[in-house]
Amino acid sequence: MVPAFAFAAEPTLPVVQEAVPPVYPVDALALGVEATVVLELEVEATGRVGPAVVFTPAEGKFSDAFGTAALQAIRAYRFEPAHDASGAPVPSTIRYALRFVATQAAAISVEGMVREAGTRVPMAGVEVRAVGPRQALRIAESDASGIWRFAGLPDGEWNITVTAPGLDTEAAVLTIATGRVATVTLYAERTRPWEGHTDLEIVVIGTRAAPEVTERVLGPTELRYLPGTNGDVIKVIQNLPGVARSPLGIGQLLVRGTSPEDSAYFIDGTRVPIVFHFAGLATVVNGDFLQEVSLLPGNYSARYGRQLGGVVELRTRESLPDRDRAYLAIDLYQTTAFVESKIGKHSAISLSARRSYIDAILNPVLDGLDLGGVQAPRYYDGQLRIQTERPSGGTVSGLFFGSDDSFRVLDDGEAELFGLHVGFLKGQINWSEPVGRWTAETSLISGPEVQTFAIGVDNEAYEKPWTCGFRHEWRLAPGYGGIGWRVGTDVAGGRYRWLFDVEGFGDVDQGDTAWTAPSFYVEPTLDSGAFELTPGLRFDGLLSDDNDLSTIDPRVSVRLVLGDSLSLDGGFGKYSQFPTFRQSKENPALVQADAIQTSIGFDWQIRTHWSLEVTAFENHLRGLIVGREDAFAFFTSPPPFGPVDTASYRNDGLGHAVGLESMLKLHTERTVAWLATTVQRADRIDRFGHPSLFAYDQPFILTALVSHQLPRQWRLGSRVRYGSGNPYTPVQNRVWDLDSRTWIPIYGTPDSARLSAYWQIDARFDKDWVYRLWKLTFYLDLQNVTNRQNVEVIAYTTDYSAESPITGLPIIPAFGLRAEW
Amino acid sequence: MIAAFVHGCALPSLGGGGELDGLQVMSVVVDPPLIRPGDLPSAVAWVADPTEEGFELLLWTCTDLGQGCLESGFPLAQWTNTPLVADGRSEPWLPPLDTAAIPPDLTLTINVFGLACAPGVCPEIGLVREHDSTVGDLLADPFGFARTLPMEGTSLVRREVAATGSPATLENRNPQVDETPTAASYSHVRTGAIVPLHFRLSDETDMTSNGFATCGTIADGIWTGHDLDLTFTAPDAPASCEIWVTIEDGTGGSAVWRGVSVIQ
Repeated sequence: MVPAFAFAAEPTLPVVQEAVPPVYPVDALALGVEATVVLELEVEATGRVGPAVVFTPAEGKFSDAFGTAALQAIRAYRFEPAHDASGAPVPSTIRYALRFVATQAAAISVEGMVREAGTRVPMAGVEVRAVGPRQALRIAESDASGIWRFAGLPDGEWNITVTAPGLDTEAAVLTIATGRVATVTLYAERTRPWEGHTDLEIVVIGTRAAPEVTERVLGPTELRYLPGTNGDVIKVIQNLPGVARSPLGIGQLLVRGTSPEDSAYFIDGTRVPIVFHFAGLATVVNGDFLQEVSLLPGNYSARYGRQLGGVVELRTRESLPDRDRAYLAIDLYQTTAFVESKIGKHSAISLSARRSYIDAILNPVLDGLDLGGVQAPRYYDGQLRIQTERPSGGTVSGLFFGSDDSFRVLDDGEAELFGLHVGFLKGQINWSEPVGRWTAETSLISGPEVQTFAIGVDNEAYEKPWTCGFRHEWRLAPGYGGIGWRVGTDVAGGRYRWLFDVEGFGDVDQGDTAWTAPSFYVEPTLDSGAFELTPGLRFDGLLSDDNDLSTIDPRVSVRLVLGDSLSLDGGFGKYSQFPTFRQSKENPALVQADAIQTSIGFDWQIRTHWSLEVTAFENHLRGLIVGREDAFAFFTSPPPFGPVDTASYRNDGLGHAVGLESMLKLHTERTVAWLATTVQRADRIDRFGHPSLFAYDQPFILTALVSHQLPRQWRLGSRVRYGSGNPYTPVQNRVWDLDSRTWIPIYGTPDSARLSAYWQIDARFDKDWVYRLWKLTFYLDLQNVTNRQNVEVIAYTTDYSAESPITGLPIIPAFGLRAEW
Repeated sequence: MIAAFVHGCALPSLGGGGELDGLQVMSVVVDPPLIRPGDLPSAVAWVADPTEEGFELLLWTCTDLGQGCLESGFPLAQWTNTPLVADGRSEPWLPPLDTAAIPPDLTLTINVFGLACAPGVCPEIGLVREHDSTVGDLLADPFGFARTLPMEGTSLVRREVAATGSPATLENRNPQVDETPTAASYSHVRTGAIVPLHFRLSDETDMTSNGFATCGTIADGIWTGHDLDLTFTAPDAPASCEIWVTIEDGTGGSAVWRGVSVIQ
């Protein structure tokens, strides 16, 4: 290596005092490739090297490798600094040519790897320092594989450390001897991840993809730490604006004044029967399979149909995992095991299994609440996912998942009074393929579902659907000033068997029907840069044993971008929902209900980390199916006590909901916080033209939530939730029916009472202990810190002489441990 | 599911554990429970008044064909009655039902309502006594009427009986009480005593029973064929307890037994 000077200052030049042999790129050395790299660098007045860049890179395919090696070597050089005319040392900028000559390459003295402690992921671009005899300094930087090397170190004891903002690392002390290559792996812990490194996964909250007017997107990484959710990513959607609180927190989705049965959950575009286990304690899909969770409260794309309310889309991860990993999580409710491994370079397999033991934990609590022998549910679920990347850039994945829940009420003698069982088993294949500028996506899902209910030996109810779903969609993203397209078909079908033979819930209701629901949709997006117009058209049909129905739903959404930080969004469209098979069998004349949805709002990026989203919405619901409120229903029912419409099903109901949602968000490297508010009013008109409030009308809902990361792997969070109570119709008097020996309640003025407002404060603490090869996390999720007795449902004493409110859970110190490898 | 959950927890019962702590119409026994052409039905109400503050009783009928009570256009005296009550049992009321007017192919459902009110709570009963026709519209909507009543100090019950115009319809009778506990077995007992109560009844159908007491406790009845056995447990302090047993045959037929036990 022959240093050469290019003069940049006069009259006194810097002179090399100590040259450090560069680490010859291994591949280049093996091929005997030589090179010269000219660097431009600042020599400080102290003689140390300041900022340096490659001025003239080496030629050939090893250009980058030579450049990196030259920069790393020059940083450890020592110079006699330049001097001005008075003889004082002054900083100077010089160009320095570093020649790589294969025959003169210094032998590797030590090599190693930097890995992140806990995850064992190789860390790229991390500075490694070696300090040797007489304070000799060498500096290296880890490459993309986390590997670093020092060459030509003088013999002696060397102290090697990793230095980078936000990292704590152990030091390695090595004895270097000529002719030997020492190896060492350094583990660095991200104790202050908000400093320096930006390769952590960033949670994106509130970004939306065209053509959705309002899409609230949640990434899973940090949301796992939000308070009140027990680490469940999907439960976080219940904190978003537009989502009302369901009674007893059982996880029903109440969106913009629509009923729980009016909203739907999708996984990668295909509908799934349930997402939450009983009582909403956990979701049936492990959040580690997910890339993001989106809530579409209304005015969504023509991609979605067959429901009046909102959509929650769970999107599984598209990219392969960057490493093999596994964890075992044990908490108050459940144990979860997760394993993920790459298979070759382009495939991966993930497996998760979960089993609850909440029955053992909560039953003593429920006994204390005097709920008459209610036994907490037990559940389990499992998922297996295999994914592979195709050479074309496409991906193919298969997801097999299932869930099983049981819930019982026992009498004093521990005999079962009634029991409820819900389960499903699904297989899903998803294939996404780029075709030119287009992307083609195909999804297929199929599998059985079962819901059974029993009281004693004489009462039985079940629903046993076998549902298949198929979606094939072509997408073209609009370029600037161009037109984008979304064209697809969304076909569902299967067989649906049911029996409802439960005393006190009407006559025996039984059926078995085969059905097909074809659908086609087309949605161009006209994008002129600042203005985006997305008209859409969706055709839905339903062919079943009891009726054949069809509907065409036109929709349109617009977006106007005003500058870099503000956009206005609006949407208008029709959304239709077919009657259930059970309803159609009872009245084959039923047709679909529809919602005319309108929304308008804005997204404002106030500052770098602050944003505000405001949306006003209005829903006109027409042809709502009313009647048979006395019939048994598994998951959807009006509040249990109140006047009920027991007549035949008819499309005679009307509804209206209007409201304003807002979400103020703060998202920094250390903090996730938001303030979500919903102001709304939801009404219904029954078949007789009588107006009433929607059963879940909650005029004001507020959720304030913050999670903040502290040094040393601590994280604190808190959540405050407030919600107006649901309206209800109080019992005014009662009549004892001598023949049936039951009390008949006499209700007062409809909706003349409202449950007391719901308040809950939660707090969460997380602490990670990071070891070389694994990480241990402890969390304490204190739910309902103030132990407030929130009234969830108004029940009555057996003779209706007094209200007997059912309250929510008391303070629950949910805690858990998670060990991850 | 929520409905099932909550309703499933609320099993029917007159009160909690058979305890009577307020004014309660225990039964209205209509004889015969299935009214056929030529029958002269009667109605007897049984009323428990644990507080012994006194009460007023109103009985009325409502034949509902879907558009309110047929009786609303008729004089009050034909479909209302305010009988006196002694020892928990009212005077028989013989509603002037014209069974011959019912077509042979028609069976009417007649609701007999019984309302007991603490003194001064229900001025409507006084209006009935005075044959004030203005109260007729109110009584012709029994559930709407109930909505205007206070829950405290009132007890409203409904008995459903059928009236058929077909003479070929099989007769239905109230359960016949063939054997009741001897007065010596329960009339004077010691505090905390356990008193077996034995009944023998006969009826065409299976019967069910409920036991109630104004003090002490009474266990659920056990049927062995037509024999019914209940157990009354006297309170731990001296008192005078009313013991009630109501029998239903599931087809409108009913029977009532009342006994008074002095606890010493």
